Amino acid sequence: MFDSFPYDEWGEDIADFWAWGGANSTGTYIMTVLGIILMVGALYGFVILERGKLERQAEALRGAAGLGPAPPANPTGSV
Amino acid sequence: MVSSILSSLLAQAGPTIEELADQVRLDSQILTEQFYFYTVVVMWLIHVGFMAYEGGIARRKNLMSTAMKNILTIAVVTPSFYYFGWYVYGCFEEGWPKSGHASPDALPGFCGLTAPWSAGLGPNLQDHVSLVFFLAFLLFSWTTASIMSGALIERVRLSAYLLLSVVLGSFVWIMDAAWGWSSGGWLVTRFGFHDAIASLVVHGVAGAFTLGVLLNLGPRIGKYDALGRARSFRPHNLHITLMGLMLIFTGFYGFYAACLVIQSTAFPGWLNIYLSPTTLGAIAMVITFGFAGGFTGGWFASKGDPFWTLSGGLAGVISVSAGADVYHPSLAYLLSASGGMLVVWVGTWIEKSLRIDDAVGAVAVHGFSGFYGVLLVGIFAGGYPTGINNVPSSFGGQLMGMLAFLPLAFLPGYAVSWLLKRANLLRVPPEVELEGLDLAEFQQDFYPEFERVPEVIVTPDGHEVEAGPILLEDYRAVIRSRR
Repeated sequence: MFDSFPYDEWGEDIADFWAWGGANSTGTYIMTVLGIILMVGALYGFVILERGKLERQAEALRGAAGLGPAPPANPTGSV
Repeated sequence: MVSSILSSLLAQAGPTIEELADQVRLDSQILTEQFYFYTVVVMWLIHVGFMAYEGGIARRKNLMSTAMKNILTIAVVTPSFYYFGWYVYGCFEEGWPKSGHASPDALPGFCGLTAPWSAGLGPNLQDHVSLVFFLAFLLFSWTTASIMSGALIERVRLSAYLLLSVVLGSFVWIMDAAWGWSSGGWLVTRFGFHDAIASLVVHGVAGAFTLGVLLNLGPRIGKYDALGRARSFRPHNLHITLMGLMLIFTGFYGFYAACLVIQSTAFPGWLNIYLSPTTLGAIAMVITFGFAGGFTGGWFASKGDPFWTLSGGLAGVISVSAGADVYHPSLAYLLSASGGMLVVWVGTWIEKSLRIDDAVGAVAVHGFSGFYGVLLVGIFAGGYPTGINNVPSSFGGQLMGMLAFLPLAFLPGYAVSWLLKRANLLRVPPEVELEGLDLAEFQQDFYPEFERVPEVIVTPDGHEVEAGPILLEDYRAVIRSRR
């Protein structure tokens, strides 16, 4: 189709190449599963991290009966 | 002799008819790819607009927590729509369990291209259309979740909103799109259901889902007094709110365009989502006259209230979206004016009579107008041959779609928010709500150079007292009385 450069030849070389495998391949299945794990883990993380922040702030407000930010989480990250 | 040599040379130098046909087909696909790509770019403005709109509506103490919802919508709906949502659209057209009423010729092989590991959802030199088509639908999903976002502001937990947005954006709306917003959907092929630019399948469904959530979430503290009278929380930045709405309106042109199908070598011209002919100009006229009529109706019904004037414009457009592929501009102007007026009365009724605190009027603007829009098609476009089976659209067919989508949207919204409420994961603690979510979520005030002025209540003897402790005690008393 093109005579200025061998695009068709290059196209054939790369047509089947996907990073970590082509369609319906083991590599793609693995990447899909890993992506789903990240997605579910992130949703769980949003819930847990926010719950910790809100509970700390609510406790601080109940104790001090005033406004102002709560102290940051301890370095271990536990809440 | 000479002529045979010349013809031989010409034959060698020039492309054959087959090669030209291949080139035209490739050009057509690439133009389609570019078209959907730029609709996606324009549709981003809807989300810029939602963020500005809701951020401006929120009180200053809740600015960043409000904006963060809009930003993280993209973080959670994108992967969930990729891994699950698109498959629902591609493979559940016949209903679940299968109704057996879809046409087998709708889009052959489409289901197989919607799994995340398929050739349709990865780099593929042979396919210029699937990925941009997916992206357009993904932007619709963000929009659907963002419609809910504004209604819940200032008291919902960020994480609860994100979980709800996954359910709405990657399951609920796309299931109804499979049923009633695809060429092979059972509501289309059997009942001629017609909702060309998604009055109901995006807006109405998002509004009904939101209503279910609001019933469990409850109003913001201080929204209603002891006698049940509604209090108005003023936007902390009205200019940003108005600009956000104008950005949403701009993005709607991309949304409308993305609802059409175009590929010159496969179809004779522009098609709606049901693969019935229309034109880009027709729908652009309807959206423009929809805004005009909606603004007009909203202004008069609200006696010039700025919030309801602009919301009336949105409601006007949504009211005529379902029939945007067939309506005359004058008809769109008339119908959208009625939609813009009705939404003011419905929104006020929801707030003051039902005592549902919908911070941005989403249930009225999107929910009511979405259902109203498909009803109008049954009245004003009855008989129009919808979809590849050419089933006439009808009042009954439109009602069938409404009856199918109302529970499909409302029940999951109510059920999931009820579960979150039972787990104490739906709403922020009352102390945090009164102080403002930004300090709890981000440990900082985002307007540091402005003094925080506590809300006050004027007592009957004329003294101003701080509202927080009174509202908190009142809220606790209400909770205790329910136990």
